[in-house]
Amino acid sequence: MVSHGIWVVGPERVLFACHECDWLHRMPPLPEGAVARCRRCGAVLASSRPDHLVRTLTLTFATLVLFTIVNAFPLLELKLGGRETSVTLLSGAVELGHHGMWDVVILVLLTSLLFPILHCVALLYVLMPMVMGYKPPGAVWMFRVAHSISPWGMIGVYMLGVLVAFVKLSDMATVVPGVAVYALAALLFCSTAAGNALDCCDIWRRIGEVDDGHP
Amino acid sequence: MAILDLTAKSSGLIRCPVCALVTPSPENHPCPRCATPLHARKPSSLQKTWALTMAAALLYIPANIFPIMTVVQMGQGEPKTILAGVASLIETGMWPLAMIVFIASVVVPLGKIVILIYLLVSVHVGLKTYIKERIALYRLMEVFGHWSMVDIFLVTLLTTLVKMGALATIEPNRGVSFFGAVVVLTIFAARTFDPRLIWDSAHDHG
Repeated sequence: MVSHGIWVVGPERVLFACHECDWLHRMPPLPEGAVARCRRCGAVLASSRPDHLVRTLTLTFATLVLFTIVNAFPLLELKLGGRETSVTLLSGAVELGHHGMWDVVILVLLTSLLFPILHCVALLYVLMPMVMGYKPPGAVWMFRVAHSISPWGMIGVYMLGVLVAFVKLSDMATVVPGVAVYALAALLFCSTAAGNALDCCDIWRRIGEVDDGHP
Repeated sequence: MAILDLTAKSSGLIRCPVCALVTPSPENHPCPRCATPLHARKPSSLQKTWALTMAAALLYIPANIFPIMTVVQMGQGEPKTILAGVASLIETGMWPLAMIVFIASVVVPLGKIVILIYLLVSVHVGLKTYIKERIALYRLMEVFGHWSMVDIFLVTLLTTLVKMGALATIEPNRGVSFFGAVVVLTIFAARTFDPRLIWDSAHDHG
């Protein structure tokens, strides 16, 4: 029987297939904080997260605010022989363009700036109205966008790059970590926590419920 | 419960890769909930993964032959490749940094290419053993795959910061582009590989 666009087997049980091995499960409603694992391969199928909408919304909003701070201040400053230079998220990405390496510029811009910001914006677009009790137009499309770009955001890797650059350069000059480094660390914490709080299954269920005109 | 001791595919069902809805949909029809085109298995997964893996393996050669950056201090310095960069980090006693760069730029991309080739071959020959181990390798690849971007970010940061004229400059070289292409290709290769084929081939051939 089909109810709310979800294939339901028996009372209160939803048919679920493992994303890694395709094994079928009949999923009962999960108690709060519970994690469901695949019986065959052990992959995490779903988890129930209390208050996930408000938590994810708050953390995603914090991530976006921190992004503006990261962009407004230098990550690292270098002092050598009376000269000073600094690097920001944007100036670092664009620098290789002066050497004609636009392919690398695009790669760095997308993975360290555009995809992470777009991911936040798409999540906010879906979550904010949902917390207030209605579904925004194009929610399905926006949530699909968020899903497909999330593996391409590489803020964590970027942070490691900043740390390596810091240690490497402190050998030859005075390096001062800028405000943006601390903001970037906080951003990393918030975006990871937001990712952990997000319950995609529940959001799809809500979007699906409203889209019940489908067969 | 006995009726569920099988896969979605063998029950004529398809799991949506985006919203996880399980429906009795025909192949290549849009998901009723999120409109993503549905396939029981990722289409032409093996062919696409082979092509992307081989392209990454080929480009890994120029990525290592061409220098990635030139450090000029007091007018001295020459273009260095990834491995020469690691060697100079060891010479200056920066062991932890040398380890990070070596793991991110050599171990991760080469490991990914080797794991992908092993998984592809094992599916082709229908290997029935080491299923859990192969799934573990697949998960390892998913988790650590994008950390090879560290070197790219490092070059952009260093070249922007170190512009001290006659005292010291760092300039990027062509190898960065090749290495960036390797990173992107291996990420795409890992994403086009369908881990469900590991289970399918282990059961179909016996």
